[in-house]
Amino acid sequence: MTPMRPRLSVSLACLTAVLALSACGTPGSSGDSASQPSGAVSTGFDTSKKVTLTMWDTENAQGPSKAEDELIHQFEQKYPNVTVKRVVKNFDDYMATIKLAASSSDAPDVFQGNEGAVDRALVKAHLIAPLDGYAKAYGWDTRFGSSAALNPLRWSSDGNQWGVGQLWGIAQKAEVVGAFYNKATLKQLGLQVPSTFDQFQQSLAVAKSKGVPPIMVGNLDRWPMGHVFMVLQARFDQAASISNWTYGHAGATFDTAGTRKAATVLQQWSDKGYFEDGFNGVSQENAAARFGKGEGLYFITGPWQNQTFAGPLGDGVGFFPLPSLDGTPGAPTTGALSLPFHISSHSQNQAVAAAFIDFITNQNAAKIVIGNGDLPAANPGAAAVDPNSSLAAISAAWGEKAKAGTLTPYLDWATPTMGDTLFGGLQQLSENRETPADFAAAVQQDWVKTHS
Amino acid sequence: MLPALVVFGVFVVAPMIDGAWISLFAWDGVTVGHWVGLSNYREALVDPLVREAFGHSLVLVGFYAVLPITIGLFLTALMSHARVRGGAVVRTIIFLPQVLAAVVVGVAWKWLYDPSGPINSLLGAVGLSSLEHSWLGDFSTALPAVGVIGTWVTTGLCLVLFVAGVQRIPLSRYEAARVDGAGPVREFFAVTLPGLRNELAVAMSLSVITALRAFDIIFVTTKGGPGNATTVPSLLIYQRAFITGEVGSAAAIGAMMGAIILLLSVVITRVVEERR
Repeated sequence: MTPMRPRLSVSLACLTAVLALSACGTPGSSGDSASQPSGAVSTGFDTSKKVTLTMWDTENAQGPSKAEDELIHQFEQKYPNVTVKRVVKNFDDYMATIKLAASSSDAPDVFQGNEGAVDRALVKAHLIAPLDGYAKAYGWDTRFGSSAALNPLRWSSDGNQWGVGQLWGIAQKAEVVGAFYNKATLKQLGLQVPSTFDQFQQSLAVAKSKGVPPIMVGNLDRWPMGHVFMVLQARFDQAASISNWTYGHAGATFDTAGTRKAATVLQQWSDKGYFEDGFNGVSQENAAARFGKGEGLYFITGPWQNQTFAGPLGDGVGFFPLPSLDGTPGAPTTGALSLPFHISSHSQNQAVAAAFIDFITNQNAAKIVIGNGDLPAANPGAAAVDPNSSLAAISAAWGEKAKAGTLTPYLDWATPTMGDTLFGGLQQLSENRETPADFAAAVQQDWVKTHS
Repeated sequence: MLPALVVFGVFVVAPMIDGAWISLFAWDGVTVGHWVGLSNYREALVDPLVREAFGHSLVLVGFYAVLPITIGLFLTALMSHARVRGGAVVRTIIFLPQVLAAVVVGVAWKWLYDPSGPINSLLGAVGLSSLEHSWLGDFSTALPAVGVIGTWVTTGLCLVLFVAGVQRIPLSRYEAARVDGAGPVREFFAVTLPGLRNELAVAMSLSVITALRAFDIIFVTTKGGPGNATTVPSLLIYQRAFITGEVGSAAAIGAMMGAIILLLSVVITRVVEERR
């Protein structure tokens, strides 16, 4: 036996021990049961006890981040016993880590989720608390227009059914997708804000013929064309059919005549050169910056881009929801409450957390949010914003659609993999590598894999 | 040896085994997973997207490994033959991309490749506007365009390795070759190339591994698009583990990728290094 042997065997023993430690049970079985609020709840909480609330959010853009800080400051002034600790991350990092953070032993008390796969996982794993009691006590069910606006935040308690059942979160901000337009360019082209879909298409043709890129879009990021497609689909398909499909209701299908028609129109627009040159190789950031500098006529997107345009263009940029086929107002369009705030089921301070998310989503909060250039979910009142600004137009569009209950959900919510399937498919469609029928069939195939 | 082994065990071996263990479950990352045995592997093997992704990796090996090594050897031959003035400066410049964070490289190239970016402007300026392209947006050019970024990054590493290696080759061999009447080409194949065997093995291992686990540059530039034209296995792993909640499947692809990389490294070292 050489002198090396005992030491080697000790080392091997240690290695074995390490392996034994890592030896792994079934992943995900942490097993502690969550506390649920019991019985009736009220709006008050013990204001004498020192409390620290931890909040996670992804409102990292300058304006929105300032709004959160201001609201936290106001809340702490109102309730001196409460300290709010804020953790903010950019969207990609946030979404990649929030489920893990929520399932850790020191989960944040209040955090943003995301409609669709993230919320489904949070509900299924019992990581967030149902809020129906608080909703009644604080009046959240009527705060955001029609109560249908809250449907994307309703789930059955096992997380299997979406759009129905208990309420799991409320939102501070809202999104409605439509067309930003350059007012000066529209005027130069001798055009007016279109009031029917045909007029909209004619305006695209006019811009193209005069050498102005009709629609600016940077589809290197893959999702931007998704929003163009969604508003088109909302013109040609039934709103109920789109909602049922997105929420995964049995028997729903993507492969409808309306969807194929929308895909055909998108492909035609691409063929006719209505999207800026090389759009599949342009980043959205780049396209948006150039639109902000005055390039192009339209930019189809949501309020999160408003500052990029209104910053340099001021009142020179306008906004309208895409007009319906026959021009009737109030037509369905893509939009929803933005990322919801949830309360951790492990939080020791759920009543404080509820008072806090009430505070950051009420009308006072709405004024602060719109004052920082973003679209609040609650109605901020007409006086809160310059009536000639694009933000006023967006706010009016959101208010109208939310009240009428005619918002259609984002399609990529439908399955965990839908973003990839849908956006990759649209890149294929826009380059004529896929027919509208094949596109619709491929998207439906992804859906069937999850919902059958 | 003991402390090293413990650190290695805790931070490398244990997570690897954990990963392999998770690959046997259907798990969304949050709720309780359930045992599915090898079916994650079976599904990955028949999944056309996974196959396509591994195919793209193969193409990237050409751009990340074959091209840089060829260019590196060529430049080494040039530099070792004639005393190039400012050779050290040239080497430094070519090595520079290695020092940059991949995200920086990706963002910079995304801008270069933009349809209204410098590459197209240059083509237009010299009258080649017919060649202007939406480089990252076109299905046929996206993967090569991403590959060229890899070539740009890895060439410096190969060059520095080879230039260092050449300096260890005894001058007497070159003199002998010249006495035998060898020209620069014969000299390269008879003296320089055989003398660089070890460096070649290192360069090949490193660059092939870089190619197979390419993630950052693709994530920053194309996110796998257009369509799936630049999707690679590590991108699928990221998406499935962190975005779509298919952690078991991600772990299975990871295990397969790990096995392939291990196998290739062994083969490269055996074939190139040992055969003297």
